Amino acid sequence: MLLCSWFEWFSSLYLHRVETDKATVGFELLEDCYLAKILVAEGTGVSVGSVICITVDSADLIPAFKDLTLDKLAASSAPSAAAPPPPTAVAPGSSLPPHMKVCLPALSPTMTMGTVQRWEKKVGEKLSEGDLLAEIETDKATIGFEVQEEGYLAKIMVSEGTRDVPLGAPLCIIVEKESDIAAFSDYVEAAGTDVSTPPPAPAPAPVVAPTPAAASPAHVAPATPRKGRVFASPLAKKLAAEKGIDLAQVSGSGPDGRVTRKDIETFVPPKAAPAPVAAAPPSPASHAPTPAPGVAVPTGTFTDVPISNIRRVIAQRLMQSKQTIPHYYLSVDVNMDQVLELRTELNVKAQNIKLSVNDFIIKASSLACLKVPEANSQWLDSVIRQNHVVDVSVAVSTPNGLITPIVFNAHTKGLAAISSDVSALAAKARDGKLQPHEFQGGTFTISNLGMFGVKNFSAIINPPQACILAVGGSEKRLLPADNEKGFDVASMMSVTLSCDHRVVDGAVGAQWLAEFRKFLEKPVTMLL
Amino acid sequence: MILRTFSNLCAQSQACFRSARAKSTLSAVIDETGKSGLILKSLSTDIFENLALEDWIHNHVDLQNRNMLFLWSNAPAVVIGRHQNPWQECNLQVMRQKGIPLARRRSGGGTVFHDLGNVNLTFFTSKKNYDRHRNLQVVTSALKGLRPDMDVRATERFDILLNGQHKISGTAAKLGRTAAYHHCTLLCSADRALLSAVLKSTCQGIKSNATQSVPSPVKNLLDEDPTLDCDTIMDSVASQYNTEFGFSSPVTLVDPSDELSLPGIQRMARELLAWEWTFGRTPKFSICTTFELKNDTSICNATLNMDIKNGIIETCDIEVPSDWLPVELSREFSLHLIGGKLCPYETSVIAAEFLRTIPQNKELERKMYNLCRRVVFMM
Repeated sequence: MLLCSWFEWFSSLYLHRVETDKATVGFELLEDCYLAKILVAEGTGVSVGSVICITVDSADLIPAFKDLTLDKLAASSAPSAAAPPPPTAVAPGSSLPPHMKVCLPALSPTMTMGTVQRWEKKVGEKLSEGDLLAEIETDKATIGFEVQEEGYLAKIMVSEGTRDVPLGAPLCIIVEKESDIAAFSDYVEAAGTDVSTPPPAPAPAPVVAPTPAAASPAHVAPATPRKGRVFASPLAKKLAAEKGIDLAQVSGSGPDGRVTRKDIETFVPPKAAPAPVAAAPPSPASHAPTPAPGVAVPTGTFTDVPISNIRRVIAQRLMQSKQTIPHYYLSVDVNMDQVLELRTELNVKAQNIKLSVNDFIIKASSLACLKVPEANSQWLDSVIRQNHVVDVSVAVSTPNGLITPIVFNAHTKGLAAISSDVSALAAKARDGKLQPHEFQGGTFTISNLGMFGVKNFSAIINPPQACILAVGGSEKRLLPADNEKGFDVASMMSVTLSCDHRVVDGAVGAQWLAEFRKFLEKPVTMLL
Repeated sequence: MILRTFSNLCAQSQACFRSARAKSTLSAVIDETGKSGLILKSLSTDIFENLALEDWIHNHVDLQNRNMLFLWSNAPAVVIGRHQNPWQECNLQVMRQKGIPLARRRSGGGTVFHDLGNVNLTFFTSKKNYDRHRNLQVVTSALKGLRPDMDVRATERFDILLNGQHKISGTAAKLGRTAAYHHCTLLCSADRALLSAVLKSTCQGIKSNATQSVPSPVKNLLDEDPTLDCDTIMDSVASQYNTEFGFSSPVTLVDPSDELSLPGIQRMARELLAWEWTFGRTPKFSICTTFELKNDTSICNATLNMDIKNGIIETCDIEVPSDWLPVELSREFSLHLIGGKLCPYETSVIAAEFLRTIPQNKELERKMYNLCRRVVFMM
């Protein structure tokens, strides 16, 4: 091609005349713009696809290109600091499938570089227009970078956390078809290759040069909205040209009425074969992104719940306990009438305290431990440690698993103090806010499932402790009695003490239960 | 400055309470007033509620042809930027002790300490009208209006300096699809001792790409002039905002917990409160540190290497000299931490259960307990 002459430009006038193959062709402008720089002088032979001039959106930008030459353009990978190259479609015929390279645009007026803080989409994920693609931080501002053109994310070139990425740096590659993603798995960005090569295109839509978009904060798209012109993405233009569709007839669904690839595809007239609906429909099952760790995956007849590490450690501890400690179990029924009466009375009298049956149980256990210190002991391999203080571990069920916060010095605390301790600890345990010292230690454990209606059960010992008391619910029972009627009704509660036979012999365990029962059946004795 | 509550604002517009219709949302009411400039002030001092309100306005109010100023202050809290690392930026142990919550905002920038002596200003505009220098000018002009000879200047980094030395304001921003907001702090009478205590990290050996705060010497406006308290300053800024942009808006009070006028706001506040946001959104980082383990009889040095992503420990290697503690124990403990949150509470639970599984002898137990406690302390 021989460049013949440059004309003064006005929109819709010929920009220049090009002679090719003995024909002179007028080269028409596609969009209203200003001619910023002529890179190829009149009379120069140029090959198809070369850059011949630069056009800009606003007159203010013309001076920026004053000194631009073809050599400088070829040398730099980004045309200028303030001008991000728009996504370019690679010419078919190159070794890679058609794709779009997304480069870092100026997302705010003062932006010169940015930190790619977070990719919101992963390689292989489908991208819909308007989706959040990445979060960029610059200059104390967080800016969402949105997907401009639909497709699939094929390759990420700048990883999360990379700081100070200059404007125009290639960030990622988007492809139309899901099947093309694999072609980019080893893609490496070569400096300055595809950036300034416009695709050679059939007659109506030659792309002159990557048009530096004005550093306007609003738009990343190369086709900035213009009155009286159809603006469309490069891919849409290419598709329209291939299908012979007149862009002016297509209504755009993109921002500011921009025509996108989707619009071109759905524009296919009804009598034509429906085949052009191109996008590979993803099958739902194969597209489910791998579930993040910690997420239960329901599939058909069962759900696999991942094991949290708390649950794993607790499981290990329970197994070890059951397997290494010689457990045996002792049960007893306790008449709770007097405790229930006392509880009602105290709750009415004391304004701020709401005592529960469990508080009485904790108190009674701690006093029984003082009376039978063997049950308040630990097997330490070489010695058995008998504790003189009673720190009662109270089993609390939480979403994470069973934890046992401790009521320290329960033997010295009054019922009110025990009550407030337990409520505070239970609340903290459920919120996951227990301090380390609050559940490290303990000399005796109580587990109460009475509120669920459980009659009785036996629990697994919490090493290094020697015993654990399992408390069931109270229920009214008929008891034979030596009176007129011949029977009595009483609230009976069933408890089971699990003991470590290495530390606590049968008789000793039974003794503990006897003391415990005495304290509960006659609560006044707890005052002594 | 005329203070009106949201209900008064409603009464002004067509959709007033007296009608039989249900109460409108805030954005509907704002649209109906037809005003292009509005000043709102929060009734709440809860950092999460206020951040949620900021987000709500950003997402739901039509800001294409409208500007809004939002005035708010909070009970003591530490607020980190969107891409920051809390372990690197503040002293989490002191914060836990004193009950000072940690919040992560959605805008970028660095870490700040909020308390009732600190005023927050958020300037909402369309993306086109986003202009931080102009906003800061409103603030400096307002301050100069109160005290004409005060030396307050905005810098290129969008800080405001008092007497050219002390920072009294820091800035952050978020740009969305069509709208943007720019918010800044203003130190009136904050507790500077507490500020220094909480903004000093104690976690050593962190390597990360997170945005780092740039520490600066600070000063309270109240120290400069005892007549400059928060209310005076807020009034002055509101008035200057009206002047600068040509509005005539009174200051309207808003309750950020009002779900009826602000549908969805409670869910937004809950999201901001969640561990997954505050800690889980930390860009990936690694910790590599050594610490001392002490016993009654001896001391040794242990090393800890962890990689953390999304707040979850991905790899963990705790090395303790084998003469101090059997290698299998420290290794097993390291393994148990993998997959868990970098959270002292969760780690304490794991440590407590783990301690129960190891063969008991007094000295071993003590040493292991020391190790666990030291690791938990680091979080």
